[in-house]
Amino acid sequence: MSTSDGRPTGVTHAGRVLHAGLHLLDRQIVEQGTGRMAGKVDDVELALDEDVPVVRALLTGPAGWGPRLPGLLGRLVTSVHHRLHPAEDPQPVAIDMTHVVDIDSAVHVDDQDLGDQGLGEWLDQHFIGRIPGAGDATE
Amino acid sequence: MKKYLAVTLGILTAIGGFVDIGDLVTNALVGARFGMRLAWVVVVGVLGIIVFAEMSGRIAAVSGRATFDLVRERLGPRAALVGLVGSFLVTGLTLTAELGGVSLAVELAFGINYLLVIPWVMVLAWLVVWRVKFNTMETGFGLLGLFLVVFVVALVAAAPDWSALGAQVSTPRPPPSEDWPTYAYYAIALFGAAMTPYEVFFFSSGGVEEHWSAKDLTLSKLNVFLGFPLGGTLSLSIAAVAAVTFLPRGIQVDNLGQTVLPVAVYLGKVGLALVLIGVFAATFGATLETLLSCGYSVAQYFGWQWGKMVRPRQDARFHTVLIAVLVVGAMTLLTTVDPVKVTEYSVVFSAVALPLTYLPILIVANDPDYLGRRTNGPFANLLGVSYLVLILVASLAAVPLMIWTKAGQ
Amino acid sequence: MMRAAGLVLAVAVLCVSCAGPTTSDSALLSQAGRSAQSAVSELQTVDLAARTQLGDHAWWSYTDVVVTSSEDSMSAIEGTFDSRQPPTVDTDAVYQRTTKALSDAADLVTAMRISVRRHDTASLRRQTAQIAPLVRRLNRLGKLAP
Repeated sequence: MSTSDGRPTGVTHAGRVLHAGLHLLDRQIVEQGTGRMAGKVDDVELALDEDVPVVRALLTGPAGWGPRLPGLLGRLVTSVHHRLHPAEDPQPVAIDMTHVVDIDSAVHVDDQDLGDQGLGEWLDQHFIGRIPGAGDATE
Repeated sequence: MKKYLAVTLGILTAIGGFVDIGDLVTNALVGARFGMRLAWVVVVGVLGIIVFAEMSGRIAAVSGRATFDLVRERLGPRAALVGLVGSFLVTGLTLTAELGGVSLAVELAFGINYLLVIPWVMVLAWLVVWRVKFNTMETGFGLLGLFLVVFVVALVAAAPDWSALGAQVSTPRPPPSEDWPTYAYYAIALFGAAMTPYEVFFFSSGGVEEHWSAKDLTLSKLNVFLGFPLGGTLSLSIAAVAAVTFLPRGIQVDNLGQTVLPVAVYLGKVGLALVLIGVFAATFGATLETLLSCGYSVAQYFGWQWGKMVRPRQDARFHTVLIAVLVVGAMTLLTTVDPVKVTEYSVVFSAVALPLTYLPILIVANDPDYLGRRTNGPFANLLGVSYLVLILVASLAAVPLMIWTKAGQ
Repeated sequence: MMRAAGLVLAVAVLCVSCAGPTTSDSALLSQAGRSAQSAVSELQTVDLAARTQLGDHAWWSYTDVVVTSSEDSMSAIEGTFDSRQPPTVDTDAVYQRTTKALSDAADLVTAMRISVRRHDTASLRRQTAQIAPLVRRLNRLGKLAP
């Protein structure tokens, strides 16, 4: 279950209550240790069993982003993604809230070797990674 | 020495905003047709980009977040996608034009047909974004682009009637031979060029590439307050020298060869050589700026890893976008479309991109979540809001004016 | 209703893209004036470029690019005007004078391009002297534009 219209839902995190729409959705996800960028919070997964809905996980990836686009565009993106993805019914990548370390201008998560999912990994293996110098840092 | 060179990010950003191929020719064109009667627009534009670049630089330094990241976060995925498409088209078209500009500079210097030069420029641009350190790239092209200061020297050597030029500056209306709609069209074109979104994408992302932190706030401000006025001055000197040389002769400017002709007239071969080095560096710098900005905006919208600060293998999607844009740009140019005309078409998309880029910046600059206690003061907000209104007016008027005046004919 | 509007729009677009139907005398006169002004601009450009080259203030390959650029523009200006249809006999004379002047201008620029590519300073000097009278002719025509 997820909400994508930004209805205020309480998230208790280190004692703070957040407005899911303002403080979570569309934020950059950053891996705490490496500083690597790991996508945007495309959607959130709510646990509705309690009295107050609680955010259980952050959802990221095309399966989370596609449905948030309006009408035809959203359906198109979602169906293209379903076609290209090897799995039968691809789900968005879920990051459980227990992994969230901090929320400021970005959502910081602990390192969980998310790596590049899907497109990034494919491009690395088949294209970019094959060009000489791809593994060298310039800094 | 290192700390003096630290302002080169601002200089390079300003070069892409004020003396890229479109501006080089447009400033000469405007000078030849209107004299200095549109100079005030450049001043207004310089102030506008200073206001917003300072904000986005501050945000990048304090929060480590670059501009397009914020655009989606504040506007949501739908509006931000519209902004992304608009900016991507503007920036991509400009990248195409810049590739052409570099090739034309080489043609003017060596006589090789510019179409043959294009593939080499494409490869060279790719090599720079693939291998060269961000800081080296920024310093190198930022400094070389300063050779354009030769336009100022040419203006002085032309010994113009300074009071006549001054009189034109203080006459903000069209000369007898032109009408108000055309005047307004060029005013909007110059203003839009001074504030193109890719300047803030590049500046803020560059700040993150340079690992700015809150300690670098003064540095960020220095970059802004030095770089953009410098860019504006170069713009004005190109217009002035064109006004002095072309206006009395009834020459209308439409290509790069004409733009640099006054320098040859007053300063001879040495001047011509120096100005062509400057043009090469400025257009190549603008190539890099627009190319990287295409990658920055897409990657930051989706939250992908981006930047030259990591190995290409770690931001494969970012580098793929760069390569794709370069190839499409080069192929478009090889259809012999006029590079300068290409920048005219990008004006249309600018109208969409500008408000969607600058509104989120103003909002975030007031958000303590991002900036702690360094949020905007009342003066910055006053300027920010005033410029947003101006931007909106310019956006609404741009396309109708373009149609009505047939893009300034 | 929408389809009718679309049809009207399509017809309008097609008409606009036809090679110059000049629907009135004043339209032709004004086009003549504009073409003349553009030609003056090109002639003055090559004049300035040639003098700069002759004064050894530029190098030949640069001057070549500038003059060739003007040559291409001149042939576009000529082409645009020649396709005009003078609507009445009254404007025939203007049409003839303008076409002749534009043609002379185009020929001169071409001749100069040839001289530049041959690095022929003597011919270039001679040709530069022919520019001023041609500019005067075109300026008189240029006054026809609003």
